[in-house]
Amino acid sequence: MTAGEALKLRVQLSKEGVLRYLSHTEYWRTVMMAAKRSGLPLVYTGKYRSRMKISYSPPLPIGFTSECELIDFFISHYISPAEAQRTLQLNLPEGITVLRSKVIGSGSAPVGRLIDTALYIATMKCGHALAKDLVSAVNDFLNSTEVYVRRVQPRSVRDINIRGGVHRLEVAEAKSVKECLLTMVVDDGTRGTIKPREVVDYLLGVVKADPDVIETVRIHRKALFQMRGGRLISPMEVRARSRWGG
Amino acid sequence: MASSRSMAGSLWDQIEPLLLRVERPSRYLGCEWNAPKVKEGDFRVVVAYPDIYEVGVSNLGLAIIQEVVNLLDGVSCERVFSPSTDMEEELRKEKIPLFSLESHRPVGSCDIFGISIPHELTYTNILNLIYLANLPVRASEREDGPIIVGGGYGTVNPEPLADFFDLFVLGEAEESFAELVELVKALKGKKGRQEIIEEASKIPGIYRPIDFEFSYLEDGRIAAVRFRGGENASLKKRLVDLDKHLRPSRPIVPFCEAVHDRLNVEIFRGCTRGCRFCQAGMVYRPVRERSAHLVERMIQEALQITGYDEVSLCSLSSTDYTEIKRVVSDLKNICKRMQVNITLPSLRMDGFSVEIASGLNAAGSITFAPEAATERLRRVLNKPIGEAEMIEAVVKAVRHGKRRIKLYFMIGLPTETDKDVSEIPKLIFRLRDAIRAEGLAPPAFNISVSSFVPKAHTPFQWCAQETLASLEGKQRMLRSALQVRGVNLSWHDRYMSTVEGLLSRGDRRLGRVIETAWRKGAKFDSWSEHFRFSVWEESCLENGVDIEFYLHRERDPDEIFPWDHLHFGPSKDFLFREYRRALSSELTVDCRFGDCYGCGACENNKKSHLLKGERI
Repeated sequence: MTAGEALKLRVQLSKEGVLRYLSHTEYWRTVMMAAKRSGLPLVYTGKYRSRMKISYSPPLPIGFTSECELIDFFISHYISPAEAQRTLQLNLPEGITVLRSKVIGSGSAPVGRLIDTALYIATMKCGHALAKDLVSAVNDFLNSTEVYVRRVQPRSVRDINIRGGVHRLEVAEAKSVKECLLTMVVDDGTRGTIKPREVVDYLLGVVKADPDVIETVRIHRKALFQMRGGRLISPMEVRARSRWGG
Repeated sequence: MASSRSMAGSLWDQIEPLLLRVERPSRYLGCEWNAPKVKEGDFRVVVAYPDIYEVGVSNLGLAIIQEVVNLLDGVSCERVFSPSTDMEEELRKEKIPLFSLESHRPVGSCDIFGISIPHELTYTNILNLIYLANLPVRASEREDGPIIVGGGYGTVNPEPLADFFDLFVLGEAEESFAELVELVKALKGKKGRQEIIEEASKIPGIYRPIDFEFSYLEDGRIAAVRFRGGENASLKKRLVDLDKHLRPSRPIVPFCEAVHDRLNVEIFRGCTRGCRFCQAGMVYRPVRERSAHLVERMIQEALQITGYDEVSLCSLSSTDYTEIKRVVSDLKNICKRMQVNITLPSLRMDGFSVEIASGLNAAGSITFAPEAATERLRRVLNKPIGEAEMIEAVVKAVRHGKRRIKLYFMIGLPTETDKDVSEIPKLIFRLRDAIRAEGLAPPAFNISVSSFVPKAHTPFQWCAQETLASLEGKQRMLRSALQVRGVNLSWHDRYMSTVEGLLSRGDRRLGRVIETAWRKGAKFDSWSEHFRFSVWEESCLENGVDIEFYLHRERDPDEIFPWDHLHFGPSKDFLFREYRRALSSELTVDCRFGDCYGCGACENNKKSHLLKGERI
């Protein structure tokens, strides 16, 4: 089996429960070792030291949950997606669920080169007054052409304009549970990355939210997309010239 | 998993908010693949490794012990590792005690707290673990709470830690620790804590430090070791047959990359090559091999349930395994099919070893430990590798595609002169030239130089350790001679070696020094970013301990050592004989395939070498 055979098993997974504290590399290492245990017909690459040939979706920060972690396993021959899903699930720890899978033939780019946009939902405890303020802050955000946030990294401090990378931003109030839901569609992947936490922190800064509110923020990655001509297309729906697709 | 977090007494709700404030929260989650499920109401054992998760989770001994204990009826064995400094800060701030990984319950509420003692520079971490568990660090101050038991390699000389442990397990703990757990479980609620400890101290291989009393001469040497009259005066290490203990059978797969990120399977224990500096080679005797078919079975089964892409055949000298050819040949096919790499650590520096290792893994690097650069000094060490063998080994390695060769040397060895040290660069250049002469491109040489630390139960236990000034001079000499392209030089911190030397041959009087250093903030002493020599100097000064006395003094032939009452195999007579032979550069051959030279390991342990094949 060689890496030249481009049949791919694309799998959509969740990241939930305590496993949301895994880093990007820890999460994919866990999935890859599960794949190895499950006996999928995986393709390996490397002259001296064999490595599993895979491609995966953009990093998810530690602490975020997700229902759209995507990985392409390059496989040597066709395997029924349902069977692959079953066997992979048996070998995954609690907190990672296989949600969908499909076999993709040649012609489709690996998932790591497809994704450029993500849909995130941030929830936080907040009362009606704060929710109103947030609506106003979101409107101001969307009416601006420049929104700068300070990104502090170990070796640099930069002011970054995040406005261009935010394509949709909405706030909704769930009065029954005194929660706000902030939905955002942002650049995530090949076109650059907007950190959802920076958007949330910016808005909470504008409304001068209490630290107690900030503590309750939970962010969930709902979906990943490829943006084609303004349309958002799920990598699980991307058409490939494949007899296995769909 | 979820159930253990919601178990009565679980601290999970308090721990979870801390996770986003610390680096690598996965260290504190537990619930890894193959991690055992614990049962509420079980007799509770917690085993600890005194370093961070990534280091501790790689430790084979801890994995074996956890599995062995979990097999006992009605017993749950959990793990704990040293929290990293950021997590410790959070725990202290929030007043959360040390918690176990499996159920996140306080370690202080378990029944037995077993702490692995891997090496001297973890001693302060051990005290820190006990303290974070909300337990008094000194055994004499503990009236209730778990029985604290030390085990692992560090029990070769546990005396500096005697004040802090209730009991020590000497030697291989698979059987003795299990017996201890069974006994304590049976007596729980029926007898008091001290009575239970006393009963447990009667188990062969279990050492209760308060059963022995030391008296000292005016000059600081030990005058006598008096047995106080308990029942276990014969303190011998325990040994096991590896074919009867196929552990770990379900290795835990960490979420993060551990320091040894591979499946580790032991092929044999013990080594009788007889290197005179090597403590492991002396104290794990005799050689006990695991049957080839069991090694292969363990590997196949463990690979299937872990998903590792690398397996390491562990031992003190892998190519000495009499079935190595068979195992490697069989595994090559299995591992090729499973896309798994095989590695052989601890290789002898000869052509045979290179052939075997290179057949497994063509590229990358290969590591050898010539230890000394002159033939004379290697004879002193009883590691008689000829230069022709070395050349054959490196040339073969390069021919097989190795692009990096790592060589380990030591400085400060007994009888070493400046000439011996200056030969290190010359030897490297000769090896490089020999490779060139074969028409091959020389590889990168990574040279690691450590400072020799004389260890207990070795023929060099009588030696003085080199002074800091002398080591500095030798390191400077090497640095200036090895500033050449293609050679990377690194060395161990000589100040760390000083603390290691102080504790490795230390006695009970050093317990105060360790405690003072820890109270002054010493921890993670094997980490260069945390190690502070000044703290140790101050602690010695405050406690009236003279570093010179422990380090730079050649011991009298008949001096009583703090570890003399603990029998790890070779007799003191044999060790002294070996010391004399070392000083006259006489070799002692491996007894595995030749005549017995009466080291005492077989007689003292009523066991002999257990070889599964013929000499290669």
